[in-house]
Formats: sequence, structure tokens, C-alpha cells
Amino acid sequence: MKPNDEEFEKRVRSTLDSGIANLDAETRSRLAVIRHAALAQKPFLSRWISFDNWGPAAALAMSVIFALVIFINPSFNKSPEQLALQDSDIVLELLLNEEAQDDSADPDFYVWLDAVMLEEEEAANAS
Amino acid sequence: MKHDPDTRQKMQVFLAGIEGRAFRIAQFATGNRDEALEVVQDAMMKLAQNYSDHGADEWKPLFYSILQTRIRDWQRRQTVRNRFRTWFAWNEEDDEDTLEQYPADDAGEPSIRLEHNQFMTRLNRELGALPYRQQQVFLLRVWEGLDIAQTAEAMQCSESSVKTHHARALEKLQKQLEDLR
Repeated sequence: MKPNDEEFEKRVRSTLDSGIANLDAETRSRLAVIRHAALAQKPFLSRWISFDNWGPAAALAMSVIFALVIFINPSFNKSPEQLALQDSDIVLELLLNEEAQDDSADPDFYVWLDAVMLEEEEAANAS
Repeated sequence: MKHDPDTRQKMQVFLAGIEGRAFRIAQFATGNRDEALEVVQDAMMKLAQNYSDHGADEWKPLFYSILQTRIRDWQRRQTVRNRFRTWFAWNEEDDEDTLEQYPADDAGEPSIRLEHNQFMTRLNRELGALPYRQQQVFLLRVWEGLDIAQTAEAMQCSESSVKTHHARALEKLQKQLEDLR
């Protein structure tokens, strides 16, 4: 760079600086407001994590889950009477099944029963 | 903005020191005070929000990178707006506020003051007339004192382009202001 260039740039710098010193009051005031607004901001990460961002989304998600539980669960729409009737049917079925299971589980009982009945019949014939 | 009071104080000092020059640099690019203030606001907001945890010595080049990005965004929007303006023949001559309207310096001897004010008026005009890249490179290098690498980063161009733009701007300004030297 030539000495003339340096001198010229120095003059340009000083002229531009004096332009800054003579900025009008309104522009200065607006720049100060902008600066304060920038400094008053929350940092990006805390803004991202804050409840302001996630609160509404979490509330919406909870509402959706609650709605799904209500409308998809098949027993939710049944009245208490229907539920009681359903329960008694189930109990009855279990009891019947239990008896059937006993039958198949102890066939000697019927052999013994036949033997007893045969003895009683023979005793009756003999008398 | 980071809640550390020391960082906050440093950022406050940094922004207060840079805001006037940033505003004028944006105003040279946009040719409009309100647009320039908006661009500076966006740049300050983004710097304080996203880069306050960086070292204070990094803030200046970061700030000017953001500012240049905002200026380019503004230019893109302006291009679209101008197309619509042409189609609908809007007459918005009052939109522009010329840089020459800026108040002259009232200090010093009258003859020196007159010379200074003439130079300021002409300088503002000639800077405003430079092509965008030459103008911004010249201001960032000469006025803001960014080095070649920082200017290249801010302007998103190569270091050799920075040198070329700087040299051309300097040559044009010297030529245009020859009679006032």
C-alpha cells in the first residue's frame, strides 16, 4: 500500500467516525433500545428447554394419551351392570370348568361309585 | 443472553462500541435508515442469543458475519420486492433516505469545517455508489479494521477477492475525491 493510500484511508476513517459522533438522537435512542433488547434475551439453550416451548406440547401429548385410553379401551364404554354380568358369566364358566376338570382328573371315583352301587343292589336282592 | 454478569457487561460494552459503525455499514448497504436499524437489530439479537458463550475476541468477526448475512437476506427480499414494484408500478420514491442527508460536523474552524463537511458529503455519496462487495469490503477493512481472513469470512468470499475489492474501492474513491485532497 502506498503512503498516499494510507493517508487517504486515515482521512476516510476519521470522517466516518465523526459521522457516528453526529448521529441524530432518534437513531441513537433506537440503537440503545435494540442493544438492551438483545442483552435481555435468554440464551438459546435455556429458551429451547424452557417450559414455554415444551409445556404446550407436553399438555397436548397427555391429552392425546388420555383420549386414546378413554376411546380405545373396550370396557370403558360398558355400564356397571354390563360389567357385573360379564363377571358373573366368567365366574360361572370357571366353576363349570373346574367340575369338568375334576371329572377327568379322578376317573376312579366312578369305578368306586359303581362298585358301591353294585354292592347295595346285591344286598337289596339278597334281603 | 448468558446470565453471567461479567459476560453480560462485556457484551454490553461490545455492542455499545460497535452499534454506530454497524448501523452506518448497514445503511450504506441498504440506503435506508429503518432497514439498517432492522438489520442491526437482527445481528445483535443473534449474536447475544447464540454466541455470548464464545470468547469476547471472537464477537467482532462473528457479529459482522451475521450482519453481512442479514444484509444479503435483505437484498434478496428487496430484489423480489422490486420485481413486484415494477409490475405494479409502485411509486415509493420517499422510501429512500440518502446518506448525504447525514448531519455534518459542526466542530472546528469554519474553513476546516467546510472542507471536512464537503469531504464527508462526497465520501458518503461515493461510498453509497460503490458496488456492494467493494463497498462492504472497504468499510470492514478500513473502518472496522477486520483483517483479510475475517473480512473474507464475513463476506463469504476468498481472501484474494477481498484484496481485489479493497483495491478497486480505494482506487475509485481516491479518483472521485481527487479534487478534495
